[in-house]
Amino acid sequence: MKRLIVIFATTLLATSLFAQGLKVGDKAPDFRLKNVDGKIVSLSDYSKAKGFIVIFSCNHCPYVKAYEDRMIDLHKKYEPKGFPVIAINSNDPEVVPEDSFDKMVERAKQKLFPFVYLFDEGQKVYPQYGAARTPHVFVLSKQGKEFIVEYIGAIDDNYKDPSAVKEKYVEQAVDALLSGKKPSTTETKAVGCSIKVKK
Amino acid sequence: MLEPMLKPSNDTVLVINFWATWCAPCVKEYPYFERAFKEYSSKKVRFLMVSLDFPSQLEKSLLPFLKQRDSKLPVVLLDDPDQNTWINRVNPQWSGALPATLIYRGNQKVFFEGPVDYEDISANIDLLLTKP
Repeated sequence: MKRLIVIFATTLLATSLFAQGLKVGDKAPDFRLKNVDGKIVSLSDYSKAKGFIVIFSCNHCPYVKAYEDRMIDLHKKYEPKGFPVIAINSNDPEVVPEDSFDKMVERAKQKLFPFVYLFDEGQKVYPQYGAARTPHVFVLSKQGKEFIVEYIGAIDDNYKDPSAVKEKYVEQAVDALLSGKKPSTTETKAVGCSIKVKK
Repeated sequence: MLEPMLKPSNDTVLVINFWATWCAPCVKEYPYFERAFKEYSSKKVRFLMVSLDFPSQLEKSLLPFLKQRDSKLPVVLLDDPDQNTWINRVNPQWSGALPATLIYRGNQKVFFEGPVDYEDISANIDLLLTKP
């Protein structure tokens, strides 16, 4: 299938257009969203955090399912260092019933999510961030009272085989921030499920 | 094998759809591509459905789906996990969310991220077919 890719590369002209939403370097808006434990969560609640790994996620998407264990590992590794995972489900449950709040509670229990799993009720947060798919990661650094976007994109470069991953994009970005540097890779792309809205 | 099919040509319109059987909006729009495939069978239009089903699900999901539909639409399975590289090559505007559709002829092209309906497909094919 490599051949298919080469053909695309050589035949399609690049029309560079920036997607809507946040770009690296922008200030990320805070939010107030309900967690699976019923509590309302905001970024500003985390007084000790140095930043966040915000992941637009959901229940139903096979790509999310492929990454759930890696999301858990990310939180376990980086929450103690000041970068907790914040998972947000922005799908409209009327379009995908599997992504309802009740189903989120079930999934979080089933997988023992150590991170918060928030429901973007009314789908207000994902457009502000410019999240387009699940999973879609935004690494933020906290600077004073502001949250700055440092990385946007995929968790790593191999959705289907964690052992074949060569580039751990999110880990590299957070490690760089923890050592006082800027991430070297700031944007990546991956296939994912579109965020589901009514048409 | 795929090369002659995907090379942009000045007299043929190419319609490429990125989809997967697990993607509900993709499955919903699949019949529109089948309809267009039939409608334009006598015109210079080629179709290619690029599946992003997980290769491990080929026997369980993709093949039964195609068999059940008895579809004549050409389908390929794209198995390249290095998506950060190839998504931009397909189109820099594309975030990677499914479905996505590309309709082009020569160096003129239209790109859709998100679902399309039959009119989106047919109107753009008509437009590209009538361009000099």
